[in-house]
Order: sequence, then C-alpha cells, then structure tokens
Amino acid sequence: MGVFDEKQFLNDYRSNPQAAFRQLMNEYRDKIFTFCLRAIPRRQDAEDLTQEVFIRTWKGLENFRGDSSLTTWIYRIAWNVCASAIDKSGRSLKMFSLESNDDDEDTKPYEIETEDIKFKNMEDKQFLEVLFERIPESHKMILTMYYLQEMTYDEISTATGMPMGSVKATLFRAKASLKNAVLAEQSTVE
Amino acid sequence: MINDTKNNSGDCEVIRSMIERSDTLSESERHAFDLHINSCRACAAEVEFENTLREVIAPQKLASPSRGFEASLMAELGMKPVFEPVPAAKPFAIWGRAAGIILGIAAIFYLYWDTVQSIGLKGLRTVMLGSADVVMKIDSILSGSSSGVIAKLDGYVFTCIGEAARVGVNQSLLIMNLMFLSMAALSGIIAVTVSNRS
Repeated sequence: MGVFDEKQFLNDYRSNPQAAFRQLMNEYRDKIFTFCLRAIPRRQDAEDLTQEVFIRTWKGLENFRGDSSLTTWIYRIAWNVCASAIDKSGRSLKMFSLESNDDDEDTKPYEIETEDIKFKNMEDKQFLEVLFERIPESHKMILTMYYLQEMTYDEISTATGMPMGSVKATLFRAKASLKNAVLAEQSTVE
Repeated sequence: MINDTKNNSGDCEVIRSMIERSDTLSESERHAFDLHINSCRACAAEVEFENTLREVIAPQKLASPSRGFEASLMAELGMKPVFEPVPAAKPFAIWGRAAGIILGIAAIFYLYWDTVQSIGLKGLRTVMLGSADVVMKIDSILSGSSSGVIAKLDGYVFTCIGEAARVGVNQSLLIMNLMFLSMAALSGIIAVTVSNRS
C-alpha cells in the first residue's frame, strides 16, 4: 500500500471531490474504526461512530484550510465524535489533567523505573492486550493515536484539544498503569 | 554484560527520553543508546516494554468495519457506491475447465465403448459384478491383521488378473484403458487446478 500523500489528496479533492474522498476513506477507514472501537467497544456502535466521523469529514473538507495536517484534523473529528458518544452513554471521558500549568510537565524529570519487566512468552503479550482493553477510553484513544498513527505530542494535543503536558502525562500514566499491572501479574505468578 | 545499575540514573533519564524517538536517533545517539541498553537492565526492560506495547497497538491489529459499511456511508452522503469489480475469468480458465471436463467424459465413453467391443456387454457385467466382489475382498483384507495385509494384496492382484482372463478381457487392453483413464483424470485435475490459480 502506498503512502497517503495529503497534498496530492487536496489537489485531487479540488478536481474530483468524490473520488478523492473515497481515496481518503480507504486510507483512514480501518484506522478510524479501530480508534472508535477503542472508545466504544461494541462493533455496531463503533461503525456508527466511524460513519459519523466520515460524514463530518466530508462536510468539513470544503472548509479545510490545512492549518493542521489532514490526519490531525480527522482525528480531532473522531475524538469529538467519540467523546460525545461516551458522554451520551452516561459515562465521562476520564482525562488526566494537570491542575498547575500543563506545560510544566515538559520540565518534569522522567521517572525512572528500576524494576524489570520481561515478556517471556506470548502469554505476557496477550495479557498486555487484555490490560489494554481495560484502561480508560481516553488512554486507549491517545495510545492509539501515538502508536498506531504515530502522531506527535503536538498533533495529539491539537486533535484532542488537551494541552501538550496533559497528553504527555496521559501517555505516561497509561503506560505506567499497564506496566504496573504486568508487574503485579508477574509477581503473583512467580 | 548487563548490570543492575542504579548509579547511572542521569544516563537513564537521557536514554529513556530517546526510547520514544528511537527511530529517529542520529548515529552518535544510536551508539550511546545501544551501549547503554546493553549495560543497563532497567532501560533494556523499558525498551522491551515499549516494543511490546507497540506490537499490541500495531497497525496489523487494525479492525475493519463490516462489508456493508462503505455502501451505507455512500448512501448517507448521496454518493454512488463503488462496487469492487469481480475480476473477469481469464479465457484460459474457461478453456482449461472445458478441456478437463470433455477429456474426462471422452475417457469414460472410450473405456466403456472399448470394453464392450472387446468383451461384450455380458462380459462387462461380469467384470462389474466382479468389482463388487473386489470391494468385499478389500473389506476383508483391511479387517484382517496388518501383518498379512501385503501378502493378501499381492495375492489379490493375481486373483484379479485371473478373473479378467476368465471372463475373456484382453489384459493388456484392460491395463491400457486404465492407464488412459488415469491420464485423462490427471489432465482434468491439472487443467482445473491451473485454471483455478490463473
């Protein structure tokens, strides 16, 4: 599969919007569906959310000025759609927010974990997969943007509307909670 | 050699900040990174965790919406759905299948006709009835002890040839027919397999 060229897409969109949109959908369909599935684990609901994301994308493309990358813009739509669905379901999107100036997080020294985590076999990886499904939706969504879409802190910050410090803190906290859970599991096994 | 070092936490901080951007390290950074990871168990574990997490959230784990998703979305947007065109069967595939079938049918008719020519309908019926006897004999062989199976099969081949001679079947003709039928069946199988792959 070739790399999706955003500039080329915008050119194509000007000449043939529908064909370009199909191209965009082919590129992002599975990624956005996976993202939505991490917010709302039921497939049918996630599909409805994905559809909503693409409808909003189509409607918004005309006014897309390219201030952020197309990926960041689409994920911003996806984030809003999912956050709204989570709200409607009566739950709240658990966020990690810093009470002080969020950008202070940039200067916070990286905490050193000296304990070992060894993924000895497949079962540990599968355990991590199970744990991943259990962490708060916002953590899963941010981890997905970070690892799956390889978005930068800055891009995630734009997509989520969270200050960059909160993005970093959420990623850090999500990873730390996963790590601690694996350690706890390993210590009960040993 | 891997150490349980806790005295190089300054280095660890630098190295761990590199883990997240390990794909974009400069050559000198990469060298320092590798050197440290090889000598610090805690950081090596951190790298391992990071890699495993990447695997868990890897693009290979992407889920896909159901087949009707695209059509439903296009309908919602008032666009014409684009159906994946079914690839047209290649002419070779059609001819290959046809040739296989025709060859198989021709072989069966030829065998029938040739057998009737050589031993007559009565002879054919005898051979066919003999076939029922053959099935029963095989059953009895297979239900017997395994040590005697080969000996029994050897004996059975001779019995078959004797039976064919008794009803007047030209043995060389019978063997030729069987070979022809096998070749035809084999050609048919090859033709169908090749046409399925193409």
